Amino acid sequence: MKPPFQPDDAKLTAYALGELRGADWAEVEQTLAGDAEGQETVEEILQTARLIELELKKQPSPRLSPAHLATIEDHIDRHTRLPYRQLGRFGRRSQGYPYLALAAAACVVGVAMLWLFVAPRNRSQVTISPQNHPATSGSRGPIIVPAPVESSSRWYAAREADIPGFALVETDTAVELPLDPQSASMESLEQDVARGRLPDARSVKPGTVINVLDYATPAVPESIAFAVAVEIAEAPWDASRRVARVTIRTARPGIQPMTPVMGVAAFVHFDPLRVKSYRLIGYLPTQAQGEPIRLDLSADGRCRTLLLEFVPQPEPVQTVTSQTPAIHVRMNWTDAAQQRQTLVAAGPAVSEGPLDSISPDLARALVAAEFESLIREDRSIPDASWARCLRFIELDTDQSENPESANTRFARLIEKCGKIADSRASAGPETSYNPPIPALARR
Amino acid sequence: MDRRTTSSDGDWIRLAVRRYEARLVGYASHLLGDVERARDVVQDTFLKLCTQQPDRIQAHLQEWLFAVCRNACLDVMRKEKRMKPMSDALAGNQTSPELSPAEQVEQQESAHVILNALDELPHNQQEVIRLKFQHGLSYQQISNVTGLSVTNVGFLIHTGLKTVRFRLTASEKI
Repeated sequence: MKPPFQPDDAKLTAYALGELRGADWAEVEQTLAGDAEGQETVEEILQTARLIELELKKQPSPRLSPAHLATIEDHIDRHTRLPYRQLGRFGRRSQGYPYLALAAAACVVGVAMLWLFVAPRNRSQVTISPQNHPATSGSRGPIIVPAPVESSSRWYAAREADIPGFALVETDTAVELPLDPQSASMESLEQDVARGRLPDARSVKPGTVINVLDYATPAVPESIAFAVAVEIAEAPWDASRRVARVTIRTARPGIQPMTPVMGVAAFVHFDPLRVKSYRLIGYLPTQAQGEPIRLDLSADGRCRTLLLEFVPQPEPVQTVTSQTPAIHVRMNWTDAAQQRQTLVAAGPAVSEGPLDSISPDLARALVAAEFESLIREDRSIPDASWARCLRFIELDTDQSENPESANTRFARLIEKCGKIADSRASAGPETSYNPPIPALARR
Repeated sequence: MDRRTTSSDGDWIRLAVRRYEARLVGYASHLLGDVERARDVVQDTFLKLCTQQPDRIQAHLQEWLFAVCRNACLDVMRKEKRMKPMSDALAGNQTSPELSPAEQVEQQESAHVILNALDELPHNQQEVIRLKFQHGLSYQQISNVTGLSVTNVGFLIHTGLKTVRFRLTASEKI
């Protein structure tokens, strides 16, 4: 039998700071359950950590001077006009063929100018057209294309008054899908609630709970490293906005042959002809039950989910058909043969359907997002919105045969949060946290 | 065939400058004890970023920036063989105007104890604690930036926290 944790055990500090996962976390949790002294130590560690964080974040943050920023800007301009590595290779090759190199450069510039000014929209439409893409024809499969199809020079959008928290597509055409799973965990939220307290808002990072619920994920065809799926639907809180769920899944060992890959990066690109601005609601990697989270996305059937909200362009440009994708996902990686590969998955046309008509998967993701916003922003959510969202969990809970399913677990968490909030509200007006969480109806 | 290319525009670099500029200057200032030199180092870090291919580093951009910035600081320190303490201006703190005078004094004392305790920690403990609590990096990310093992990072943070906690407790008893 292992002895209980000593106060100077570094594992206890890692646990208090939310750095433990899987079996390690479970081991500490189990030990602490019957160890009041250990629990007190965890509280002390947390309190010290919060004080340190508070003081360090108060320190003034010196910034770069205008001269430094100007130097960087100048460097960006020079390097983006003539890409560094290409310049080096081209320079070496051109030593013996200066005129040939000049002629080739002139041709490249000419073709690029034609591409930019004559038929940029048509080219893009053909390359990532949903009709040509399995991801939008029901099979959700991936497609391998030789190179990225977008060019920033054609991305533009009409400027509008900024919506707080939204990025204009004009200035930020793409958002990177974080593949690093460093984030707060569902376990740490449950840990707080189990102790009768609401989670600290700072511990609820964007997307913490989005992937807690069960989702169907796209199948990965044989010999392909990744599959990407994109779903878009009307936002339940604002009919003029849309929500999108992007899911990336890796090959699962035993079903598909493993394809070792390196240098994986994923980006979501927005078409400014269809999207005005967007915001990242959250993300979190999912994992097979009992497996530790690892940074290596290529490991096995892991999944990354990204939830976004965006504002569509009010009047799409005439050349944009209803089938033009609002967003597409690009993934880059290096395969076993050291070849750079690119996968582009186009999203479907913007859906005009109500929330009830969209995938239950996306609805559950929205429930998770609403919950996270509630804890994080300490804001009230209209009862009707909660009731509508909870219905998806309730239905799934009732149909679930597994009492420990993720949906059941999440529903229980909401219930407990409601009870804690109620008890705080009855204790006095000191707390500002009093969310209108209705009790889950049981059939 | 190698398809490496740099970004077709510099937006991703500009975005990185906006997001990480202040954090990197703060980090480098602490390592070097000199804000102006820190600005030069951070500028060089972003100049190096311009030569990188976005699809190779964007998945771990934050760690890359901190690691490059740290290495540049270590180079500067090696060359100049110096390590100045943080300036008073940098180490200063602000108090909340909503607190009563008594509360402000108490908070200032508490802040003073914490910052003093941090300054008295060994440099490696100070660095990992700042990366964790000031810059929000995880153990794994700190490990990637500093080259220490995750276990070592955890031990340094644990030891540093314990020391600060001990100092706080001792000051409360006085």
